[in-house]
Amino acid sequence: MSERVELDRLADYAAGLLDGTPQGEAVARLIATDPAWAEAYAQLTEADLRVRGDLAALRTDEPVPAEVVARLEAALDAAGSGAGRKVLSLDAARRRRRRWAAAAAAAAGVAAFGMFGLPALRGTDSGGFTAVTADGAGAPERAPAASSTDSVGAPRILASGTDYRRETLRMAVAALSAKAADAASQQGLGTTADRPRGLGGSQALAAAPAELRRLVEHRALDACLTTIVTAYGGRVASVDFARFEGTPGLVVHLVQTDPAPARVVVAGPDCGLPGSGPDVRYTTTLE
Amino acid sequence: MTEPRTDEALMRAHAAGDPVAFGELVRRHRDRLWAIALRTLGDRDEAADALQDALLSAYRSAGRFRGDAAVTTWLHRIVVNACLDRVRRRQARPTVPLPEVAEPAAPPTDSDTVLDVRTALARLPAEQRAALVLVDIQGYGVAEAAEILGVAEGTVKSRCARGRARLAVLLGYLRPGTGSGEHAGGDQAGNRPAGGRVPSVTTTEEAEP
Repeated sequence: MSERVELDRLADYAAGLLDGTPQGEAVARLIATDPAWAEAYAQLTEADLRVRGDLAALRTDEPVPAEVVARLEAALDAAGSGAGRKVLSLDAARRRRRRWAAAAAAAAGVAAFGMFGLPALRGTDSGGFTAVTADGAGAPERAPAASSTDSVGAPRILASGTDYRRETLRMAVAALSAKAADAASQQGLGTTADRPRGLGGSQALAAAPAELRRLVEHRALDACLTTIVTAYGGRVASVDFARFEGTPGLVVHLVQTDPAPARVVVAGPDCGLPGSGPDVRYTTTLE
Repeated sequence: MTEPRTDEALMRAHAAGDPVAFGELVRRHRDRLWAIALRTLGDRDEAADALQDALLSAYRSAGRFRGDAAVTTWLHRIVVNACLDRVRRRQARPTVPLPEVAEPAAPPTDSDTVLDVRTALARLPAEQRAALVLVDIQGYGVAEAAEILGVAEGTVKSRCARGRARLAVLLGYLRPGTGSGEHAGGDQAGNRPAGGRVPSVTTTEEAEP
């Protein structure tokens, strides 16, 4: 009498998974003595190869469709905006409060920039900010005024025209900021030797990529820098209207107020727009 | 020269509050994760939903990642589990038609019904389907698939072998009359294999060989 073929058991046997076991010996005995099992085994061995081929043909290297990518990014952005995050500990809550405090202080500096900075770059008042050219020469019309920016330092505004690369961003920003700080320091000492060579503030910003011109407007830059500081903490040490990996990018150098390392954030043209957040294209620490 | 951050470094950065780190991680792996979700679920909308659920879950639980497995394995596991959850929910609602599976106009008969591979794959029990998607379709090694699925390698091999055998039945590669064929056994999901007189299908899915 023929015993009913059990496909799962036969499949395990054909795959060698029952080798050396009493179950394997039992299946082998059935195949040797029962025509139904013998036929099923023969068919399954052949069919297994066909099925493998069929399955391999289903392999897809299709990238995620653009609409799905957009959806995923929106979902993750929403999660990152706080909707999906919880404060895990009191320490985290404290760090968050410190970050917000730093953000508020930096925002005060940004506000001062908004009120005075950009007109200065067009040849009027410089307020608490310093416009410098790529070679580090300062271009304020007058020395930084005592203002709320004193508590957080005065961000340096540049339009270096540099196309930063991922590999060189850290060193380039650190060097540029050092130059800018040096230039500002000399300004503070009343030195006039480093006045820009024929470049005023407006000319300095003329090198800004066209795609970033929206951010030249003070309210737009205010909103952008506020979102960056809110996200990363610290204060804005310098802003460079430049490029990153060939595309327009606002390169923002953040100095942290605690032992955390300084950071550089590359923001895209949509930085600060509603729904875009800081539009971060890249960020790294300056350690 | 600044080297690109490793997956592990990105995870640590994300857990520490870096808002772009997780996005970078997703960009690196999303295409492979998408392929697995698409093949496991057989439906683009379902795959997109599962991928979103999985990535949000990973985003929120990154702080609990202990580094016992590679980040990519961990991400794959979350995506596969999200897919399996959806398959199981779908199977728990038998009145909801399976995507890409044409519902028969009449109850299955003993006549041969040869399905296309995708449709046949959708008929397999979820665990067998996931194993076949990883190993036979996407080309992962058995060891890696076992780690992703959180089971022993032998279990993956068994799921693959049994899944292929069921597919062989569904695809008509096993000739009618093979075995005694008293009945065409149903699987755990209640799906009936196509074809009438084929080897009986047991339901001992998790039996370790």
